[in-house]
Amino acid sequence: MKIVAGYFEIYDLMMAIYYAFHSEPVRKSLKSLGVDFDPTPELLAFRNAILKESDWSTRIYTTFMNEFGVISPVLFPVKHKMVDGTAVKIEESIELTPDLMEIIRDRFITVLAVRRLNMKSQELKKLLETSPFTVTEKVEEIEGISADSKWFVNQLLLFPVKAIEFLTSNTRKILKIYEKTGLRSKNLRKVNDFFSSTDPKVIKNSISNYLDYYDLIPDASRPLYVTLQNSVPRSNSGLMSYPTFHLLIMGVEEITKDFIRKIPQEYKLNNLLKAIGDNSRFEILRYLATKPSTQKELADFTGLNKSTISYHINLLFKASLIDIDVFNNVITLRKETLRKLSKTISEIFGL
Amino acid sequence: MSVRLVWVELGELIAISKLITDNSRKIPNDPSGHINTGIDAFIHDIANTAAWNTRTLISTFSELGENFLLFAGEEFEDGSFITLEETIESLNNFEKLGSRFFSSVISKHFGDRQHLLKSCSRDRFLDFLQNQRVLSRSSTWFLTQLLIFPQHTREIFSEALEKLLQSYINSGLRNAITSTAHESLSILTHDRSRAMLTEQLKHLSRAPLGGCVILSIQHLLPDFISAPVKFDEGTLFLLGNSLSIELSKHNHETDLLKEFLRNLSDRTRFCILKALSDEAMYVAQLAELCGLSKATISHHLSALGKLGVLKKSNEGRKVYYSLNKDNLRKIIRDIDNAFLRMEDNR
Repeated sequence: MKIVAGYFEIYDLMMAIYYAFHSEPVRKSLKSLGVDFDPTPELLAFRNAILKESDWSTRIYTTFMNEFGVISPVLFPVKHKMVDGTAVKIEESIELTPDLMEIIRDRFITVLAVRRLNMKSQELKKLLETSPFTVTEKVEEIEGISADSKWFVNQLLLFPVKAIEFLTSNTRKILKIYEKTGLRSKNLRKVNDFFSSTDPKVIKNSISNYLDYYDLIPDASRPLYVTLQNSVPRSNSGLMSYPTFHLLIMGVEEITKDFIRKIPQEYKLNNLLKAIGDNSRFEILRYLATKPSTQKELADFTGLNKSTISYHINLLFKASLIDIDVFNNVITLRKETLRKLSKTISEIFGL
Repeated sequence: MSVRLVWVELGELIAISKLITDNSRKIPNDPSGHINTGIDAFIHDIANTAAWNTRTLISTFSELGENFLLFAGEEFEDGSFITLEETIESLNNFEKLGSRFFSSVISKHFGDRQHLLKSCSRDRFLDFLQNQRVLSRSSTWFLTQLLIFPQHTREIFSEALEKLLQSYINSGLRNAITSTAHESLSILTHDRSRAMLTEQLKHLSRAPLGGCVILSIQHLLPDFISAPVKFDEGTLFLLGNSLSIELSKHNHETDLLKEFLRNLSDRTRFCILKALSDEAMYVAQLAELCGLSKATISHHLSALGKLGVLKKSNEGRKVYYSLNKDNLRKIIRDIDNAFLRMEDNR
C-alpha cells in the first residue's frame, strides 16, 4: 500500500479548535494511556482566545468545525498531488475557485445525503431543486448536532457562494488568533523540524505500527495520506476513507514516540482489558452490542454527561473496541476485537 | 421513547383467566411450588363458589384481558404498584375508564370499522356488535352492557372483581406473587435491562410507538406477550416475567465476566494466572516468580479465588494453587453471550 505523509496546516488548526472545546476529555483519555498531557502555553492561549470570541459568526464557525470537523477534508479538499513532506498552508487551502466551490458543494451533498439523511446523493440534489424547504426540514431532524451547525448546513446547500464566503472569512479570522497566540509558528516550526530530521522510513514504519496496533487494513487500491498535526501531539482522527484515498490525521509524537516500535501484544492486551474492565465502558459496549448508537444515545442510556462519554468513547476507540463513523458519528461495536480477545485469553491460559 | 414499568395486580388475574380458559398454556416454572399450588387452589375455588358474573368476567378477561388494564387506574406512573383494591377504587371513575377501554377494544378488533363508533347511531352499532363473529359471546355481552347499561356494568364488574380478589388472597397467590413482583420490577428497572426492554418493545410493536409506553409485568404466564393496547395517551403492554428471570441470570453472568476482565487487567493477577496455567504452584513459588512478597501474592490469590477461577490442593504442608479451567472456559464463553450474540437473541 502506498503511504504518503505530509502536512495540511488547516487540519492542525481544526485539531486546536477541537481541543478548545474538549480539553478535559482529551486530557483524561491521554492520562489513562499513561501520558500526562501538558498543553503548551500557546495552545492554552489559543483556547482561551477562541472561547472568548463571542460574535455569532465565530460561534457558528467553531461549532460547525467542532461537530463536523471530520469532514473538513471535504470543505478544504486536497488539491495537490500529495508527496512525502508536502506542506499546505491555510491560505492555500482557502483559496477556492468557483470550480472548486462546485466540487466542494457536490461532495458535501454526497456526504450529507448518504451519511446523515439516509438517501442517495441524486435524490438530495433533485429535492434541492424541486423542494428546498423539504431539505431544510430534513436537516432540522438530524440528531446530535446543534442549531448553529444546521444553519450552516442549510447555507451550504441553498446559498453555496455565501457559505463559502462565510467559511473563508471566518477561517481568516480564526487564523489571526492562531497566529497571534503563537500557536501557528510553534506548530510550523515543530512540523518543519520533524520532516527535516525524521527519516521517511521511520515515519512509514510508525504508521505501519499504528495500523497494526489498531488492526486497520486499508485496501491497497487507494493511497493512504497521513497528515500530521502538532496542536495535540498525541491524537489521531481514526482512518477516514474517501473514494480516491484514505486519510489519517496523526499527532507528531505518535510518529516519533508512541508507535516508533511495534507495540508488544501483551501491552495491547493489557490496554484492551483496562478499557473493557471498567463499569461504564462495559455497559456502553453491552449497549452497542444491541445496536450502533450515537454519543447522545449513549449519554441518555448511561446518564453520564457528554464530556465523560466522549472520554470513554475515546478510550474504547484506542482499544479498537469500537469503530466511529466519522461522517455521522455513529459508533459500532468492533466484534472482531472481542472475538480475538476470547481467543487470546483461551490460548494464554491453555484452555 | 421512555418506558414506564408498572405492576398492576389486575394483570395477574388477567393472566390466570387466560390460563384457566386455555390449559395448553405454559405455567410458571416455580421451584418453591407456592405459585403452582396457588393456581390449583384458585381454580378450585372459582369452580366451586363463583357466580355467573365472575365466570363471565374470567371468560372476557381471557379474550380482552390486556385491554382491561385500562381500568386499573387513570395514571400509570413509572415504578408504581397498583393493587386490586386500588383498581376497584378507581372504578368510581367508570365512565371515563370505560370509554377508554371501549375504544381500545374497537380499534384493536375492528380497526377498519372505527368510523362506525363515531358516525352511526348507537342502535346500528349494537346491531353490528351482535352480528360480528370476531369476539366471543362473553366479550360481546360485556361490550354491549357497557354501552347500554354502564351503571349496572360497573356494579357487576366491581362485584366480580371483589370475588376474584378474595379467591386470589385465599389461594395464597397474592402472597406468593407480590414478593416476586417486587423482585422482577427491581431487576427490570436496572438501566441496562430497561434499554433492552425498550429495544424489544420497538421490535414487538413493529409500528412506531407514540406517547408514553406502559409495560405491566405479570407472573402467571411467564412467556406471554400481549398485543399492544393503544389508547389516547400511549400504548400499553402486558408481559410475562420470563424476561426478568432471563435478565437476572444474565446480569449475574456478565457481572462475573466484567470482574474477571478487570482482574485480568491487573498485571500481577495476570502474571499469577498465566503461571498457574502451566503448572500448580504454592505461594512462595509465585512470590518469587512475580517478584512480590508472599503476603501480596496471598491477597491477590484470595481475590482471584472469589471469581472461582482457582483450585486448591494440599500436598504435605503446602497448598498448591492451579487454574479451574472449566470455570474459566465458562467465563470466556460469556464474552460471546454478552457481546456477540445479542442480535441472534432478537
